[in-house]
Amino acid sequence: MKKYIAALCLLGLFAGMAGGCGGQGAGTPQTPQLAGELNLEQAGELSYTAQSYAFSDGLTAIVPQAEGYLLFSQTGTCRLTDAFAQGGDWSAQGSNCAAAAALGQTLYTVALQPDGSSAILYRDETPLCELPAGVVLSYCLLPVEAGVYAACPYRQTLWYNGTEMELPQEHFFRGFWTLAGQNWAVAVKMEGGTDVLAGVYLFPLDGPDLGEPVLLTGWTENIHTLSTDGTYSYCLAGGQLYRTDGSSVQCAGSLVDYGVDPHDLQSLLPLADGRLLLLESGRLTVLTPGTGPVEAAEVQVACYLYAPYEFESWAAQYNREQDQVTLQVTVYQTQAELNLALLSGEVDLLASADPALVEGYGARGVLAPLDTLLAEALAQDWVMENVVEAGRVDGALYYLPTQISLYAMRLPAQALAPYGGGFTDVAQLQACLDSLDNQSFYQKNIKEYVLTNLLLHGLSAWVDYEAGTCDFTGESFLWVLEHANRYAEDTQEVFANQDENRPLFDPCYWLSDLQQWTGLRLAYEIPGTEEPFSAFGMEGAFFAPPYGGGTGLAIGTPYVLAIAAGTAQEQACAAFLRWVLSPEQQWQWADSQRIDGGAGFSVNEAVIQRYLEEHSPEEAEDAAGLIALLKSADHYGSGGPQGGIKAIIQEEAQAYFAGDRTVEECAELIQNRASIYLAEQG
Amino acid sequence: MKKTPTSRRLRRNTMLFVTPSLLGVAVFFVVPFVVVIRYAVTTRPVNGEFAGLENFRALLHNYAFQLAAKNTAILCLTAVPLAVGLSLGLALLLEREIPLRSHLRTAFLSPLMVPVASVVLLWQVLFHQNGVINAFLTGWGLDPVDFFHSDWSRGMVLLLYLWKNLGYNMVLFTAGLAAVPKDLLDMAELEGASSLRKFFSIQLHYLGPTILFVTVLSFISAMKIFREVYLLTGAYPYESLYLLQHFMNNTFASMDYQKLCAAAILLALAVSVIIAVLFRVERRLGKDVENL
Repeated sequence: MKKYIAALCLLGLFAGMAGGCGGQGAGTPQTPQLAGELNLEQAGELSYTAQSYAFSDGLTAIVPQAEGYLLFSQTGTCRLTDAFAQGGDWSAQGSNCAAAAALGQTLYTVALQPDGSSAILYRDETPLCELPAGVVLSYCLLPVEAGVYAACPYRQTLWYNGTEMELPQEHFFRGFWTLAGQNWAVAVKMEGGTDVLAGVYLFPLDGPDLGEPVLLTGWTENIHTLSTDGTYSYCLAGGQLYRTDGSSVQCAGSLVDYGVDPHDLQSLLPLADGRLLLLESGRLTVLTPGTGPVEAAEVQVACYLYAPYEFESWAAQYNREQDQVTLQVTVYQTQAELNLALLSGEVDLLASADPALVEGYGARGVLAPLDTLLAEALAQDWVMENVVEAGRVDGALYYLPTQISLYAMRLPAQALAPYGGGFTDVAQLQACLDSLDNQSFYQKNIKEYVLTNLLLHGLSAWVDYEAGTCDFTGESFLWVLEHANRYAEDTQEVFANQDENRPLFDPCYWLSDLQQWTGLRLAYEIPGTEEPFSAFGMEGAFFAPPYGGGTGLAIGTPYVLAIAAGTAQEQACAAFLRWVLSPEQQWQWADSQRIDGGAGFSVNEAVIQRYLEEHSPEEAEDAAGLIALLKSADHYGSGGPQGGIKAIIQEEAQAYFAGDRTVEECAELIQNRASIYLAEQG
Repeated sequence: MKKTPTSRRLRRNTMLFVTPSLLGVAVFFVVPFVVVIRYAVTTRPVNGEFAGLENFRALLHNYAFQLAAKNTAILCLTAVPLAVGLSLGLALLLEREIPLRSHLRTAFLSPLMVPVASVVLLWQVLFHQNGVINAFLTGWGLDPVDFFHSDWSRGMVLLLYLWKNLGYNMVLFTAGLAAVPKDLLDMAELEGASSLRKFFSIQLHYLGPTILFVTVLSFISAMKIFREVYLLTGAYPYESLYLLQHFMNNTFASMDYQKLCAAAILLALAVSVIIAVLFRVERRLGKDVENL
């Protein structure tokens, strides 16, 4: 009997153990029937030499002709000689051209309708069909013997001589390739409506039919700007240029290395002789196969997770304009890889969207202090003093931004007035919010988004990094959690409660251009009526969050720059920093309207002042207020892809938002985990 | 003693065969350890200055390290004896003639074949705040337990550890028990010795090397449980789940190599002491066996 009892007990234990084997039954998402897989072997690296030619803004396409080239812009066309010199004036022919391609003597063009709602595909002068406007105003064309394929990147529909072809669900067109004589439509599949890449698929093109796709294995990057010359096919992925012949793939490095801004790339045309023509909006760059710019000193620039958009623009410009130094950008996907690269001396310059990450490196001694390297620039106030001071680590300056924005809260000025233009504690702020005559701001965003925004102001109210301590159990942090919890559960609730008025309270307004500042006067206007929708009037006002721990507004920046300690290229790195921070470059950047384009403000006060005087003289009074506001910012916000405490807060808040925990329990858990994090750093 | 050509040849051949191993050990263990020692006594990884034992002092005063060391010690002190004791008990039980014995042996080994990702998924399904166990608890009118964020988390990890490791340990003990001389046990049986007496006086002595081996393996497994804990709760878990490997992993990621290396040296010393003690105990048990 004992034996049977023992056996039963063991059976029970076995059942519990065997339960673990059932954990792998997840269903696979629907995918189209695959015709096979294609694995492109890595086959070394390619190298080009670059030569660039400036043209008027708005270039869209270039087509080779029997002699020279036909260059298209948004407003006209012009002929180029074989030496890429302009062979005549711009003509209006082919205006609004969004794409062009040629097969023999036949020219295909896509012309946008004036209102941008659609485009017409032409064969020479003859309209072929109407195409809808794309997500981006660009089109891809692949002329074949019997007609032409056309499609918009990021959409799911392709056209063959006007006949529609649909890609499967969640597959988005990226471009055309020709590999081993077969034409393919290349599409990416995104995971469940997210921006996570699930795979790259090649759909064979056969007349108006899409065949069963081939999965491109081993490709983890999202690809775009595809092109083909019939032998080789090209694409961009993560800012890098790739070439494939269908069996192997070669990387030609970052476009930035060749002085091309990947974010401004309009089209890529491979020529039969191996050269590549790259069109930016105001520049044609010719890449000729060769050994690359070996004579110039190379400055290796490291970026974490992604290369910041604005930095790539600066770096591309620097590479074009300087012969002595070439900036080469490498993106590291893990911090461990970046750490090793920094320690091994592989990295000369660091461009990071996360100031906290760079601060950590500064504290570890792997960055060079900038105080002496940039002493002259700092002495001449090329960077506002508050921006310099906000970035100091133990008194030393390890990083600098080239442009900044501000994180601020926003309310109607009249609602703020009784509180003297700001709040001393969260109770005051909540009382003010409760007094507002329209509470719809609680329905205009979801909880997680609001929490992220509230944290953008920085964590300095609750964290003392120097002492290695934190207090997330106090009133102000509980308010942050509770306030975020008042917002919508999900985007459906947001859409169900949309109205066209702006929210009366904005928990984190990202002030990044002049118009946002001047627009404060009409912040709460019923659109187009010059009437307020609130009893508190139309004018808005910015203020620092009352949980700022006595600090002012937070500085936001698209990236900061730092120099690796002990790099052999220290002077070259410093020269780049001086170049990018110089009043001339800062002015050039601001004057090209980027200061109004949401990219932020120059770090140079004189440049902002000049810009305001030249571009908004009628708003001089406002300008003074803006500069005062910019100069009042005294710490960096917690923007960028940083982990650490921000990630802990966001993770633990999920259970509170889901109702599984009380706000106090949530705060206790955050305190518990954040304490460990800080103790580790100490 | 005079060296003969034969002994010289033997010596040369021995060196020939041993050198690759020695080189491997030197390149992959000795040299890195020297680098670790260097980092542990310098102020920073780049352009660092000699800091003496300052990094060790700072480490020992670091709350995160203290917490991690305490949690790791608690886990090892509870998990290892339980793993050894329970697996020995199971081996003894399965040594008896019970139904489905061979099937049960296979079943106990099955957790070893489950991939870590599946184990983590299973534990999440079971122990999540809205998981299966809490569904049962609330169904019975009890309060749900936040297993991942309370002191229950230690029990949860202990259960996971035992579930994963009991089967393998049991097989090792089964092999050890099979090596116990049958005639000794038969003789004891004839002389009227009870099962307990036979176990403590004969089987336990012969199991000495196996116990040592299983203990060392269990200790290593206890240190490796970090993998599951990390996948379940991330780099900064609730404080009772924060282990030494969390500390080391995180300090590696944040490039705090001084703390990392000092902690690695202390851990290496602690492990060396533990292994030395275990060998000493085993030697004593071994002597007892020789006297039987």
